[in-house]
Amino acid sequence: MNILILHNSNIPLELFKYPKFQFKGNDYFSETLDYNPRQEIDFDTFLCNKLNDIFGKMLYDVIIIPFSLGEENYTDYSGLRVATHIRLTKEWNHFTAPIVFLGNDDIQDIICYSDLGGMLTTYRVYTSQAWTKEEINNFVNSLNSTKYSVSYDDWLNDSRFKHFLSRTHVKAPANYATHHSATNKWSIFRWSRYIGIENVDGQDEIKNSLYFKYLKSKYPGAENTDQEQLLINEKGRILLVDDEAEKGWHRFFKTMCKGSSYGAIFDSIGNGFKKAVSKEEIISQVEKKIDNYKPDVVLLDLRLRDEDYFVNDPTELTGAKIFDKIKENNRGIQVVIFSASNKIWNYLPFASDGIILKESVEMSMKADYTKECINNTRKILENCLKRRYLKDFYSKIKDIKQFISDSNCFGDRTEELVGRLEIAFDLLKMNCEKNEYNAYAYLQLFLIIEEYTKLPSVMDDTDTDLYLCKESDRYRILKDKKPGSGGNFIYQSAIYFDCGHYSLGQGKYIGRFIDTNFRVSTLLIFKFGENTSGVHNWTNINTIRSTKAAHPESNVVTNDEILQILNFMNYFFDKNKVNWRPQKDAFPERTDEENAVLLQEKFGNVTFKK
Amino acid sequence: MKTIIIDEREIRKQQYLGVGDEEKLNTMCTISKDFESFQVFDEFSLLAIHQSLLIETGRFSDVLGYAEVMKKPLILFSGGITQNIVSNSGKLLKINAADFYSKITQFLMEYPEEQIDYPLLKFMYGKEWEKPLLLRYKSLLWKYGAKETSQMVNMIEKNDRELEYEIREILNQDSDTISTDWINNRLNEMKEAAL
Repeated sequence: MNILILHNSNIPLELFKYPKFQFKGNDYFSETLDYNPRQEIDFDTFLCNKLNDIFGKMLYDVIIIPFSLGEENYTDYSGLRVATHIRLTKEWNHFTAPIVFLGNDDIQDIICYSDLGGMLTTYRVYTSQAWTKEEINNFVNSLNSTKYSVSYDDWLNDSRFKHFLSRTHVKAPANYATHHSATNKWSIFRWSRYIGIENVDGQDEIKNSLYFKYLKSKYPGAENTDQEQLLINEKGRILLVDDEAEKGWHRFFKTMCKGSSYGAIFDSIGNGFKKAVSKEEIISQVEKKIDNYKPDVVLLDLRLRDEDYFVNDPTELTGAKIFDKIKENNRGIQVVIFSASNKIWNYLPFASDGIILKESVEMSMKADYTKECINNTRKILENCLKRRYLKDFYSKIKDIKQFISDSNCFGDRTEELVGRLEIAFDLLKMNCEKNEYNAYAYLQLFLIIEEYTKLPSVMDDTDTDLYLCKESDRYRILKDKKPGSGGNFIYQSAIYFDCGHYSLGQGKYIGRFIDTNFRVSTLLIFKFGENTSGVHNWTNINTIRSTKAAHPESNVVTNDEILQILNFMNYFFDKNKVNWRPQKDAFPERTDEENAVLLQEKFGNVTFKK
Repeated sequence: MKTIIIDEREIRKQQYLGVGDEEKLNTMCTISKDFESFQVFDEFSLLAIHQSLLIETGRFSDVLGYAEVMKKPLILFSGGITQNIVSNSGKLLKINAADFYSKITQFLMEYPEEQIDYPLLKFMYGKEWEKPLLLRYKSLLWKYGAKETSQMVNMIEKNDRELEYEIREILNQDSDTISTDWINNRLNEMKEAAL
């Protein structure tokens, strides 16, 4: 048998005097584990480096370790830590090897004082106070050291291994003591590995830390069999705002976006947050990044600085302030909360676009939970990217709001009309759930155009004529109102209808009332100097209003059609686009004789005194 | 014990200590986020420094060297330290940050005097600070196949001899007294006292 003795010169001399010796048919190999605290590396990393070498050399049938390796701290029971590493490290291939603890210690004390002490009662773990080679050799020979050939994956499901895990309690190191930090590290590792990232950032830490080895063994998770399905397949720009971005999340999301044949683009910010002196500085950094990068979707961690962990009111978190800034600027940018918190209810006010929870250790009990999490992440991001048009929509709505506010064309009603625009945006957002909402939004937007054309300051509708108002001037558009058949009236018009739209030139307008199409066409031709009303898709917009938007139960108003009306409104309310035609293109003002004829028609024969 | 704590991660400190203990600790020792020169350490008998700060600023070896030369007990704490380890004849302790902050207030309350012997053992184990020494001594006896020190004397190696002498000095016992039974009795007494 090959017997490995790990020690720090603290076992009987004859067991480590020579690096290799034979005794009664057994080969003994002695290796020193002399951790020097003056080194910068931590104990787990030291152990892993050392044991990688040792177990890389050969397979051992039995491993002998003293309870403690510390020179001056005999109650550190670091030997138990070594043994736990061996049990939990697949790569060393000694996870079922018999382990003998050597020493004259009180076993009850060890079980009492060490979190790892429970392992002394588990499969293939022995204790011995043997002191001479002879005694030790006899003890080793008495063990059932038959190789227990089992794959690591089968070993993880073996009841003896589960017993070992139940008896061994590996505490999270202090830097993972909070739920956030442990969850963050754990989910980066799990998710990255699942989507096939070979060298996960910070992998050494995960690889060497006993705590993470323990978690990996306890919650091995399912293997990914179909990587492609987990990658994002939607176009757009995603920005991650997370102080942990550089610790693996940037790489994870970058990889997820690689799947997009349409070209989803990903970037992140968060590296400098730890060094930022204030919350305001972080907010300003993010604002600049958003201005330059112009994301469609922002993945936002709400806790971005150490101080945030002590904030009780979620609205005061740095991320919450960033959320407000983003939404103030453009409600259409999708903000998905990305959190390691287990107190999800705190974040609900910020979660209207979506919330992605990092995988916490306790949730990993479910074998395919990682897959579920990544799938959920993909779906949320894809849905948000699909809704990226909302950013454009809101940007246009914001411009329209600005035009309306600046021109004050609605006077006292400005606030109400701006409110209608916000309602229209809410409806557009809701359309993601139900198609009808685009139609309702369309009607809201169209109504604003209609309301505008009916303003007395825009069009003066007298009993007989229709005037287009230009400050102190006015353009006479309709005249000579006469009753026609079927309740219609017939006017002489300064524009005429042909081929589906109005053009400049005299014609007739027949109708019971003056409709929005005529009013808007008048404005397009006279106020904006267009030759016809067929410009800026107006004819189409008007048709959709009376067909699809009016009957949402059987029609769908598309996003392109929404974009058309928004573009039109942007043009229509922009005072810089105004280009008045000369007044002579309209009918001349009524003469005195015409006025006399009208009065006579109304009141009978009247004599006018000059 | 006149102590200085250097920890730039104030929030972490608050997190481990809680408000009450933090205020208490502030009154019992000097706390700073960084240090400019080793001179600031001169007036203190115990130094406790966040290890990562020293590593990130390239001062790790210098501080260790300073503490060794000046014979000042040094505690290096960090969230990433997974195994608490005492070395350098009990003058250097590497300890997990959470463990450090869970012990420091109680330690300074128990030992308010400016200087004490074996501060790091007392820091780690409080009233049971002799326990690891007794266990170490017991393991030395076992290592040499001896029941008592006198049996061990002739075979003990140089390194272990220094250790044996040092432990005996600390325990204040002569070589004839210490045996496995004597140690077991002392350990039992400690156990009973703790109960």
